Amino acid sequence: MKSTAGSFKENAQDALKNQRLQKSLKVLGRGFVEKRAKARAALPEFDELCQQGQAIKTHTLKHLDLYLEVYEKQLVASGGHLHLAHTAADACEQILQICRDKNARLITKGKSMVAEEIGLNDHLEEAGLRVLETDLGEYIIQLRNEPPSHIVAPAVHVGADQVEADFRRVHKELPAGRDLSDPAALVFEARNMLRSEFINADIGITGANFLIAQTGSSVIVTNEGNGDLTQSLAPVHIVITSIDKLVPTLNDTSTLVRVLARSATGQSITTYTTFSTGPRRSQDLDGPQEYHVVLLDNGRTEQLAGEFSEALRCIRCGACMNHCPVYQSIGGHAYGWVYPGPIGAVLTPSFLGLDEAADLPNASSLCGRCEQVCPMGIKLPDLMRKWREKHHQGGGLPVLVRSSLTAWVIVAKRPRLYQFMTGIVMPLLAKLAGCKRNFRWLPLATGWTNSRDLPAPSGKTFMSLLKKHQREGRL
Amino acid sequence: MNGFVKNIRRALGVTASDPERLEVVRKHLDDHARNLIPERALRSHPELVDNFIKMLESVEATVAHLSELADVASEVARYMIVNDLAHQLKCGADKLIGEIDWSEQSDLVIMSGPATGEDVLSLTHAFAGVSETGTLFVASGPENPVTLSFLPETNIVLIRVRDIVGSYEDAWLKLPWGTRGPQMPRTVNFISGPSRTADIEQTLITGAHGPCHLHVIVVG
Amino acid sequence: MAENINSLHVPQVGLPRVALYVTCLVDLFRPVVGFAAMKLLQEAGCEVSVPLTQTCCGQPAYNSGDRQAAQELAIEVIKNFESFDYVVAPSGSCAGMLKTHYPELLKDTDQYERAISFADKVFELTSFLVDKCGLQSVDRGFAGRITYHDACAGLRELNVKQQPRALLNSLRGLELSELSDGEACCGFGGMFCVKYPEISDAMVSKKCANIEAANTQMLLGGDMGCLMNMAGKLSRDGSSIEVRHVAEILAGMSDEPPIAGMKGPKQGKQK
Repeated sequence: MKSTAGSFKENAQDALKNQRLQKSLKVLGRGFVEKRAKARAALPEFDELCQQGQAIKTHTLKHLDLYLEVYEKQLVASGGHLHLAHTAADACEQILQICRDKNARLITKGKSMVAEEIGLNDHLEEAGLRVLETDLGEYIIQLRNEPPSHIVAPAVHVGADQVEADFRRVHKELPAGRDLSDPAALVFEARNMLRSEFINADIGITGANFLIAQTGSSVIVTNEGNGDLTQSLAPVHIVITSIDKLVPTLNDTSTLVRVLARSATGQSITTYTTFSTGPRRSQDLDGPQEYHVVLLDNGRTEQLAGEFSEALRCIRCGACMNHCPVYQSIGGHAYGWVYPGPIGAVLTPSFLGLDEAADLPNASSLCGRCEQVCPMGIKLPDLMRKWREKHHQGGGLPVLVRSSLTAWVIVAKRPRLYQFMTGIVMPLLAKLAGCKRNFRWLPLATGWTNSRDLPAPSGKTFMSLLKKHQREGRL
Repeated sequence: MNGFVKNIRRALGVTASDPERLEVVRKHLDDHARNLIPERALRSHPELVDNFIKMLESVEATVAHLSELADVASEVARYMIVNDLAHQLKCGADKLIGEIDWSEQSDLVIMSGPATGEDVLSLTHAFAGVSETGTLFVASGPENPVTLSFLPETNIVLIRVRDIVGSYEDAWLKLPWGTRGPQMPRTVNFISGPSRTADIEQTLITGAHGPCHLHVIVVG
Repeated sequence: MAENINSLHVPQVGLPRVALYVTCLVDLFRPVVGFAAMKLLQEAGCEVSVPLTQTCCGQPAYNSGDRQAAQELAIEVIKNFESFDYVVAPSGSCAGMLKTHYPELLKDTDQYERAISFADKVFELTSFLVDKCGLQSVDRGFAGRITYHDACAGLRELNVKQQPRALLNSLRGLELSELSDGEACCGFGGMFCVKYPEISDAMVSKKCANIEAANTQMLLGGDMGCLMNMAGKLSRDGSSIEVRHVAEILAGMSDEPPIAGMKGPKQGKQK
């Protein structure tokens, strides 16, 4: 996927001015946040399950080499094929190769963030294949030629009226006078349009929420059933996924399933959780004849060795972005790449580099709500701060920020100088502000004063007053 | 796999032959240890059944609780009439479904095999039901084609009351079991309600791509 | 002479020795909060000192990625404050920096152990009064309806939530009305608000809409940064809601005009 993370500031400003987006974001802020809170409250063991889930992920990552070997053994024993992809390009090429081997023309696709990460659709389409997203949200954004703006709800930024307009534009064979005024009609139309495509597809591609070493299975967690139709009706099922999805056992998966949907949408479990193991068995009457798993690294092994390794615990529930006041203000597209929100701010710099993505970890008030709701206990603010340290070390801070910070530190390290200077400056500022007691404009502080008043100091500093009181014997 | 795993070992700073790590992994896989099971999954069987039904109903499924397998055919017929469905049904060659006596439903057309785009109603058998979230476990196989759970507009699922358990962990035990774990069929589907989406303005709509209606018949 | 000693305090034998970490924003912008904190601590039976060599806790440097500068400032703070029984700050953000981030900041240095034992002594003002001093009520009155903003660091790093409410609710005549979406960030975030002013403005706008919707005369909070941000926005919007630090009201020191405001208390009356 092509990045626009480099123009984050402009993206954000556009997003803030986009009234339609702001309306959608308001709904998101209320919906997901309240639903998760209710789901958490309804399960007394929720927090403990999260902690166990974290321990499972940490344990797996620590023994990832061994679990991968077990997973491969089990996958092959069940008749599946494993393809290892070091890079995004490798994965795209391997999938294209399978499609070519099968003379495939139509590919149906379930929702997969890893597929977005590797830019799979573009790659297959450039090779002349027809790729059809089947998750409703993904279908909508594919029609609009947009990237997802949320990892769970990809079309959360699109209004129903926009979907209606897109359906009328694309579904030309349907009667022009049909009523699409309510979301149910839109869902029904998409359902009907995609039915035959599922059946006619040559290859179905899904992602995976989990890979299970114990059984060699891949797991998808969905609500619509599109993933199941994708992977059951096409003769070939390809799973595109990454090494961090590995979990040791079915029992471990159960623990993670208990926290995933509750964190994501506030459901106690999604409508469908599907465990796929190998191709159809010899006596089976349906199901894919071939089962391929394309396992992507794309820098994750490197991440495993470094200070951002805990981000590999992420189960892509989206709770961090749902609760993020920055995401709630600007939406997902402003982040400019596949993974938005706090987890995106941590992941994107490792994929794209700080030159492109430095704004992402910087554009956070570090309010900590993401860490509070992360079921995998990823210390997202700390990780964002780590990127800031690298950014600072690399000399990436804007000159004005860097120099004012340096000046502040120089003064702060010298208490006498600090007290001397602030003892003069603060009363002066107080005088300057006059009886209004705030500034409507102040040079070097226009970022603040453009939209809010800057409260002026009371007058003398606490330290000067304290010393004065002491001299006067008032203490 | 070699290059991949070698890179990982380098990143982790470990060797392939470290006996301690091998032992930790072997033990974790062989012990089938359970993590925390929510208290609600550990209650008495009648409570588990009640909660199973309650949870399913809370996710827009309908549930009928029958005491005898003999009553299933009339329940299916009743459901068809109430919902104005054509009197035909697609099911697999499932043993339990095979025991249903359809003789009194002479106008009912029962077909066997995987679902096609034309089938409007399917009948499947869940090998387990999980009380904690009202989840049906359906395993694919020659007797239970997977497409029956997804293509038809309405899916009726049969489950025996004795197959309702508390937790996911308990449900896996209902599959044939090998040394490392259950013998996995091609697919195991956890199903909790009819298909749904909230992709348009977060409005919940049932009947996305999978079944629009899910009717669960609990027997026993 | 004051300049020749390290800290100012009123010695009283046998009481817990508390150092007030006044925080730079209180020092520079609103000294009354510092005096209010001293008063509350003394009333709670503490012997209060104010080390005079204090400046900034280093949080701006830390959050901007200047780890080295932050480490240097952290070591200074520890050096100046570690001899006391407790270190109390009228700010969850600064207290959080001292308590939770100093150990992380110094974990790879020879100062780590020192940072850990220092961290044990650090508290935010209201949580110190309630959790450590056992204060359950303040014997004062305040006639008025107020709402309270939970600043993020205090709330999530230090679990400051019930403590200020417990003390406020003990004031005779005070009526507390909660903010909707009360745990959301106000958009201050230190340097964040000047680095990404438009996003910060969107956040503070939402917060201020909720503040207005709470239908109170006064907004209180425990962190000057957030309070200045919200007060500045409310002032720009022409709101009549007064903004003050919680310590001012608890200590009965609301003679000073509110933050970013011209007049003294309009509605709420200290009794």
